[in-house]
Amino acid sequence: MDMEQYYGRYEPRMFVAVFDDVERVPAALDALRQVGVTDDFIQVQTGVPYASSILGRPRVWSAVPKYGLTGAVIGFGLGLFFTHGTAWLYPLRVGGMPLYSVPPSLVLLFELTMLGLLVSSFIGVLVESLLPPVGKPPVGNRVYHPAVSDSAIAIFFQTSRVLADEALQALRGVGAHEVTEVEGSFV
Amino acid sequence: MSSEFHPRNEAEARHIEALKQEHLLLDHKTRAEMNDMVMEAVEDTSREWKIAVTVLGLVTAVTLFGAWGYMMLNGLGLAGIRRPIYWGLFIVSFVFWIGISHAGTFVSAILRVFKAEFRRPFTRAAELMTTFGLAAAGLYPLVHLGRTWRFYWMMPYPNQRWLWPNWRSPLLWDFFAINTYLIGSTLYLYLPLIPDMAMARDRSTGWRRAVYGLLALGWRGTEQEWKNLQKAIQIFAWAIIPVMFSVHTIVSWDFAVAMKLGWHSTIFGPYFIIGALLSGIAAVNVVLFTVRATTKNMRYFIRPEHFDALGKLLLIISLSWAYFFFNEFILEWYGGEHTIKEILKFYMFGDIAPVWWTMVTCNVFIPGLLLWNRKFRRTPWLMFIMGIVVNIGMFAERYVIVTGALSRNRFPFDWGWYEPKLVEISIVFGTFMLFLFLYTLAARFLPLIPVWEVEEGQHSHTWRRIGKAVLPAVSDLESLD
Amino acid sequence: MAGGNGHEEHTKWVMVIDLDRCNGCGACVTACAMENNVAFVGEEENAYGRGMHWLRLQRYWEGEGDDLRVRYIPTMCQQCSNAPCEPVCPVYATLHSEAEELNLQVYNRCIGTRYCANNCPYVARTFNWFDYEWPEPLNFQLNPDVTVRRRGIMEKCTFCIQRIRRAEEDAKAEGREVYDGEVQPACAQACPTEAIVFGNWRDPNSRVRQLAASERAFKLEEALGTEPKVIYLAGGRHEF
Repeated sequence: MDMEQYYGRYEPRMFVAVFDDVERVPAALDALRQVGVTDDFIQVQTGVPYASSILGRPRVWSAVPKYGLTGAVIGFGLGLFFTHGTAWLYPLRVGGMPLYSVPPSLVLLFELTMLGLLVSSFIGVLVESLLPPVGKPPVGNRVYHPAVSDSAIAIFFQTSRVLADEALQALRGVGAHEVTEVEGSFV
Repeated sequence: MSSEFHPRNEAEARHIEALKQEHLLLDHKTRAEMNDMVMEAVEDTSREWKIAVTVLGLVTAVTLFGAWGYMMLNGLGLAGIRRPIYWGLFIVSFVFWIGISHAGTFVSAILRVFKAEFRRPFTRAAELMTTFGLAAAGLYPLVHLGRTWRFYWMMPYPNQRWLWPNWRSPLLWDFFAINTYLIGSTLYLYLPLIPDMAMARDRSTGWRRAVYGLLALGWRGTEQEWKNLQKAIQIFAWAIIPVMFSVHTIVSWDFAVAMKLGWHSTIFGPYFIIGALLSGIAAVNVVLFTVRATTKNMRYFIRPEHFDALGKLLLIISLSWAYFFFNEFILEWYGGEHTIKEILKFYMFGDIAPVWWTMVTCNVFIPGLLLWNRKFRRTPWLMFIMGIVVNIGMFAERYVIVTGALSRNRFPFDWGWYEPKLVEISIVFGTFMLFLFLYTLAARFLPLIPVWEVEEGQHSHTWRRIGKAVLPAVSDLESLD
Repeated sequence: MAGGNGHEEHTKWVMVIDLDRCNGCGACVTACAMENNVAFVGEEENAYGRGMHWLRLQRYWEGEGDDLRVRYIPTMCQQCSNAPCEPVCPVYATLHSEAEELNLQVYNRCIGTRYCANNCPYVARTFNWFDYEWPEPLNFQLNPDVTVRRRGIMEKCTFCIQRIRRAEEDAKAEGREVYDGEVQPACAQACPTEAIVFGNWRDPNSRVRQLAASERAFKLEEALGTEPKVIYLAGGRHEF
């Protein structure tokens, strides 16, 4: 709701500012905030991982551990089924051993718990950051600057026509070597 | 993050220059330069490379799959195994390849967890070794089956009779452990590769761009993407270590849980893990030397410092192996059980003695005597030879354990002798060719150097002056949030 | 629970082998091979160690010179109660029959890992290295009660389970119990010196029970705890 009140009847537009040196980025972000572009409308793309404390950006949270934990629980359950469930479904005696026993089942329980953890952590990365969210435009429409993989730092921000000129001016002031309007969306 | 450092005098400048020569992470290059170097290496599909891939592919097809198919059609009797030695070269090679596959994860995950900076350029080369080593190892449980075409009965799936596999069997544990490890280590290889795939996508054309684009999964390098990726890499690095340990422990349990003297040993778990690391780290040296010698621009990324570090690791592990071996061998001997003594006598003085002594020489004496020498460790081709020597020793170790112990049983009537036959040797040779084929193919397709990790490492290395000395300073960028 | 053959109390089949009576003639080996369609692998393969015999005569030489003696131990699957071969099979191809208290081998389920064979302290199991053919006229003597096995699977002594089943069914049809001595495995039947005796342990008057009471009785590698169901009566000098 905030957003619509703030932007009123202006269409939001997407811009990018490209920097070579990470030392200039915090200043550039401060300049953007001064103009009135909030952090919610800024996305920073980098070629190496920079902590949010380096960039001076709000802390980023990752949901990947939650995926991992869920997967581990599912894996453990699957392990219980394979060790104790299948012995219950089709009891077969071997070597004078009990049908249900803990020590040998620990092996499969461990392996399947770890498998669940690993696979679901990977799925977490896919779902949380790489696959497009449901209902959003496909991958091709996301903003990106190819210089990022050469370690340039690209600041994408969305703002209205009213603030754009001031923002671009400020960014050039702090040393952006390329500032242009682009097509696309954040996610 | 510019880190210009101005030397005060000539001597200091020379000192700094020498340190840069030594350490990749101090020898800054721009990311664009490094990207170009790696991409040049990847796209260097020269005529020699094409010939090598074709030959390796054909040889693999004939010696591995041809021989395997021939054996499947005729029966396992084509192998040399016979009563009472029911397991032979296939299981030996299985354990061997599982061992090889360990080092990739070891150097990558453990060194990552401990933030050992020197790991950065070669984690991927080592992880690739893990994946392809497992591809070779994973074939053997199928190859050695009497009825390979029924291998899927080991999988737990709701079949028509609702008959499930036996979860008490170490072979089933193997099945799960190897699959977990294969899936886990492949994903672990893939995760840090995603940003490099994006890099490759951005600077390639044609089919390569299409494939790299697909594999990059739309990677852009946003803060959220990095955060998720780093979290996942962290989870993997921690979790894959116990999985790795479990895999070789379970492989050792194939033997250790058996009611078989010479196999039933409580030390087998850690003994096999150390053995796996010994052969694996040795193989990393072989792979790194080969990559360095055959791939463009790799001399910048892989330097004597890396062979030096791996050499120290190899020395420590060789000594640890000797320690476990001593525990395993001498203490069993002192137990005094008659059959055990027969087995150990057979190892040392029996028909299998040449193999046993090869093992001791290659695993302990040669590395133990030579790796103390810094010059030796820093000479890549010597480390290459050392890698091969140690692997011969480790192959011998598995050969002795698998076939040697089976040759001596409780009743002297059940003693036997095993010699591999042509089909077995061909298949084992074929898996070596398969490994080389896959690696050669991958070396011209995947960026072998994790460029972003190297750059991250270079960012965290700067210079510092304390008193009159200049020395490198490392900041722990990874711990920042 | 699986199993249960209608009997209130399971039978427990055991075998007693008197080593004093065994003269190593090998009739049991031959009879076993004929009864159970054990593959004929040929001289060369047999010499190589690929013989498929479910029952082997372990032969040991003792002493020297005039005191030289030969000792035989007929060894087959010991039908262990705590069989080490069973838990290591990934697909339950070898498992315990709760009805007969026998160690079963399910040929159709076997995928040929050969782990069971490695884990057998008696090395009693054999593997089908190839698809074997019976040269004429041996092919005419195949036993229709027993299946033939194809390449790539394990097999071993079954205590002639087909004979056990037949006796049980005959007894059931006639409304009686299986009497002592009714079931005779091929090896016991062929033994000219009656060194091998087979019977039900749960029958207190059975011959096996009486023979096993001898102070010569022992089991192979008894200390392993496998609880074999073959009881040997020590031969030779009787030092125990």
